[in-house]
Amino acid sequence: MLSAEGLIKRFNGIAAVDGLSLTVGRGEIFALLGPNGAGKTTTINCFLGFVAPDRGRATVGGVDVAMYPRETKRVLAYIPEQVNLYSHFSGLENLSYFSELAGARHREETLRGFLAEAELQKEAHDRRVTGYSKGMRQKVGIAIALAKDAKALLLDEPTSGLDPSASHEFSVLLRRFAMRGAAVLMATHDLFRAKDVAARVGIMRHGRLAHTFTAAELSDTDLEKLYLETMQA
Amino acid sequence: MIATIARKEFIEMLRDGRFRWAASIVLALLAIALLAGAYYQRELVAQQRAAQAPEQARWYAQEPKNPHAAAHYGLYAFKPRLAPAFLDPGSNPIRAWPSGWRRTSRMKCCIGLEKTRRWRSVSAN
Repeated sequence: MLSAEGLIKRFNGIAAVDGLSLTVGRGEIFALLGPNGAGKTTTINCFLGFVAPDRGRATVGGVDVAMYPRETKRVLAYIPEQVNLYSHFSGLENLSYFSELAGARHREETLRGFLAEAELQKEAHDRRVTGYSKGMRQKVGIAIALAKDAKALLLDEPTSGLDPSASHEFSVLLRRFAMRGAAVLMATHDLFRAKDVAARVGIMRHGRLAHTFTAAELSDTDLEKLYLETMQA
Repeated sequence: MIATIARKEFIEMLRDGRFRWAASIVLALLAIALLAGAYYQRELVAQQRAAQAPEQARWYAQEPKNPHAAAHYGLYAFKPRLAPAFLDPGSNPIRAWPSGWRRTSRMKCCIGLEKTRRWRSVSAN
């Protein structure tokens, strides 16, 4: 569903992404690990069409993002580190608004169903989002992806700043989302969460994918060791 | 999509506390301006009536005159100030106000066409 082929992106001559190739299939969760500046966010931005690659191509469902950015955006959902919602609106109103922008009009009961599926507490549906925690905002983000019926979900550091319980809850939601047949690409610093939620994990360094492995291959300790060795290499 | 965005922006603006405060202040200022304008209008009309009453009384109290002599006399009158004038008094509230208004009905003769034109020209200026 998501595919990067020899992706290269330079900023002022410095390669942020340097020949990255990866694929994320339907129903699969792929976690990208790496330090700040490794190229994780640039990779996601290439899939979103926010950044045009200098070489190589990013495709969504076989469609080249650089050539058809609007078409690919229709099937993508994106959850950044901080989900920005309109503060004067409730979670339900935000969901309704973003769904309509995505071209999907739903009845109120259906929208409430998406929020419930994203496990946002019922009493928070009609409350303004100014009082929402980060985790609650993430849930609205998931609900937006559900309402849009996104075929691929891109996440950039979604669990940073979440407490362990909220982080675990978010992992469950991601797995459930992937089980609907969506491809999930998540950039994260959280080794434990990456191994917990993802089917495959990639470690990026200097814009390259240094290692790719299935989560079952390594224990938490082995993963940490490999990550540190990669960073020190 | 534009309608969706416009609706969202409108609702957001209504819910914004800053907009509510600004709108309340503007409405309060408007109400004060209307009250002050109405008070000024009432005062002005009362002053005009007070100023006009003795002149009118003098006019009605005079002896009948022959039409030739009557043509040299007149009555000062204020142009009527209509209610909407307190919102917009016009380009110049002083011009042609009050005007010399020659009145001949008491003398049982008609005002001439020429005098009517003169009054109109005075009013127009």
